[in-house]
Amino acid sequence: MKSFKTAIRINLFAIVCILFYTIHAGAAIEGISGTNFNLTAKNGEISTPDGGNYLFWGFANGNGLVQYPGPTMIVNQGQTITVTLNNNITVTQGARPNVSIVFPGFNVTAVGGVDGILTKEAVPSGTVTYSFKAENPGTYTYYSGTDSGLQIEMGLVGTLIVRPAMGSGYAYNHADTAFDREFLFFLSEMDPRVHEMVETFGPDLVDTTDYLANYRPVVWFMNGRAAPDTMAENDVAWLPHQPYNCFPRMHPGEKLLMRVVGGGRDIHPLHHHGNHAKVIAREGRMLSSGPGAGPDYGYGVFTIQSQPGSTVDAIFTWTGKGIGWDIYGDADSHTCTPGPDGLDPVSFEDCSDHGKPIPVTLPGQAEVAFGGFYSGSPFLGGVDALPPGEGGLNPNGGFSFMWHSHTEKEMVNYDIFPGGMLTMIIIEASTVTID
Amino acid sequence: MGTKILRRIKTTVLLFTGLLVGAVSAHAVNLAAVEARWTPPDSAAPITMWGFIADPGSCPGSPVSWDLGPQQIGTAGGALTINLRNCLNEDVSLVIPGLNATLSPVINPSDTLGRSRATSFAKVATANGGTASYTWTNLKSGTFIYQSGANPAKQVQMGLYGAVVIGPAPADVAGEVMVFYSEIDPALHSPPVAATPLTYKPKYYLINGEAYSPSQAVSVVSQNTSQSNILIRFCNAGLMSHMPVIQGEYMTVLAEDGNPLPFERQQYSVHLSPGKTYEAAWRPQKSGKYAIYDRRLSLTSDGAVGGGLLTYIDVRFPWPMFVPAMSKGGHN
Repeated sequence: MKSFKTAIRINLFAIVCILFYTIHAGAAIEGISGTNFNLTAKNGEISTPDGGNYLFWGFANGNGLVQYPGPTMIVNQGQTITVTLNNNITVTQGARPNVSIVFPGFNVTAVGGVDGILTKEAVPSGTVTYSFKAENPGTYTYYSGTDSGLQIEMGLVGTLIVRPAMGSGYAYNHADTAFDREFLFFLSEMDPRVHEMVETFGPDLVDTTDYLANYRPVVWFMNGRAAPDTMAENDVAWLPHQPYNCFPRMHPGEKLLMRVVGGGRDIHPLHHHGNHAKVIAREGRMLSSGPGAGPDYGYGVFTIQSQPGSTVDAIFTWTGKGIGWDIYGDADSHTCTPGPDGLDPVSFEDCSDHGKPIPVTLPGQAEVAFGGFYSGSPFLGGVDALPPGEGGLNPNGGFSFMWHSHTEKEMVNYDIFPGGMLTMIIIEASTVTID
Repeated sequence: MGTKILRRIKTTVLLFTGLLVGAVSAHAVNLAAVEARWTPPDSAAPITMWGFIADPGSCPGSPVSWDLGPQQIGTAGGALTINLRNCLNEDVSLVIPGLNATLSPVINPSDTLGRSRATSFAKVATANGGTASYTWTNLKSGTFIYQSGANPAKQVQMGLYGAVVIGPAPADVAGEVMVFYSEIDPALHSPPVAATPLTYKPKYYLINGEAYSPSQAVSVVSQNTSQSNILIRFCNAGLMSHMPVIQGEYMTVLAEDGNPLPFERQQYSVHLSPGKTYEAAWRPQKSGKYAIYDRRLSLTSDGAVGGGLLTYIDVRFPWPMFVPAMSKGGHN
């Protein structure tokens, strides 16, 4: 097939695009491990691609940089977990706030601090220690239980993952929850009026407004970043307080575990183009008919409703099944050996489509508008000539699908499209290495 | 617990229905729709409300103190009749989404733009003293909301709503609590106008008709030590969605809108869209106060934090006891 051998037409713009959006997804979710965690609540600034900069309050791992969302804590089933919270939040005016953490779904013992309405709180410059047993695997969330209406908005939120006893390649203790890659989808939003008020006049003045009751977010995030920053690398230097990207990549036939967390206060319909996903669990509990049955009550959706404070685990797969044309292009360039399901066990081509041409006449280059994710070739793994300056965001010629909030107004950065709660998944050919 | 609860519900309902053959339980209640006043916790001026009260026999001469409409009850398979006296200055009706009734909608054949529109989902009790009788038959067990079906965009948010509990409750249940959410946007109350998506901005959030106070709690006493499930009935008569979270616990969600779920779900929250009801069973391990708060963060009162949709379930066992540790739910 010509597409595997045609040279990519390189130019400076494409090189810059590739450098900025280097494909670097990773098979496991980035986070911190252990049984004893030290989280510091403190101030920081996040940035959005429209040039916005907002004060936030977040959690840092010990003396590290404060981040939004807070560090993803990854622990193992059966462990007793201790989280010590240090309160270093400062304000320009008024009293410094207490801060706390609640862990929905866990029976938590809190020691130290002062009594709050939901749990014990760390006073300014004080600490409080929470401990609980991670009895059940799954995806969970943590957030401030102090003035939650304000402090969750300010960014005191995060994810907790409990790995099952069966091993880190499973979501729960059942073979049907096995996955090849996992990705976090921590969905949240911000109303900058609140952050600007806190930064300039201090948090107490927020009470005199209706910003929290008459809530109007204009920026939206996946894992703390707004598109297109969702697709940059993890830990990119120019987003020091937003270390997590949200950029799934996979090979055909793999199982991708989506850990979807409602991190803000709004409901978001996560619409994952490309295929249905099977919802296997909610709030850390498999949808199951009984012990040992696994997620047999799981169901397929093409939109996952993410509710605030709630979590959903779903498994997404993609193959060439039923596409109707040879996804790898010219039949002479590759073979297809069908397994019991009719798919090649390596390339996951649908062998009944082997050699079938794409069923349309491909328009000429003078007749199309190019997107950054077009590789020049419609075939999986294919790359072909592009006019100067076009493409560049998909150097391996994968199939890209938009994964986004289907509340369409959330795909913007303060009214600028594209932005917000949006990313792309790239299905890479099986020959492409994904880190 | 778990699937046993659902099996027992079905068994209990079947037994109960068998007993009712030839003797259907019918139940009649007299209500009045009246003008009322509600005083916000921040001592701002009292807000004009409309509410349902037990019919005093004639229309009150002055506004009453507002509360949720009296809770209505019934029995699965039976009937419920509500006789409504309308003391307001516009037509009112009654609907209970999810319960069976024959409705006679009132149609205005030509509004100001010449359109034919329904002005009430059900027949009306006419303004200023009119009466009407509403009957629901073949009642389904569960939790429901009764509310005005006339000009609902205006009348429901004015306060014309209450809860309906149709028994029997699941057999393992030793105590019940009601968590009924509603909202008040004072700007739409004087004069009463319809809420619209752009204008509706609630300032006050109520649980069981009460604004938040630090001592607010919903009490339940669990009497029977071997059957110590608490049934939580959730209702949302507001116009915004809410997500009650029970602190540190899991619930077994049993039913939505009065429909039993096909399989048990272990969750720590439920999604209450407007008009939604849920029932969930929960077995507290020890007595004490368990927080339930809205993760949609309607946790303000007139803008100020420290209010809104937060309450506690105050569980009291009659004596110190050991509750056998049960699975925190679900299957891992």
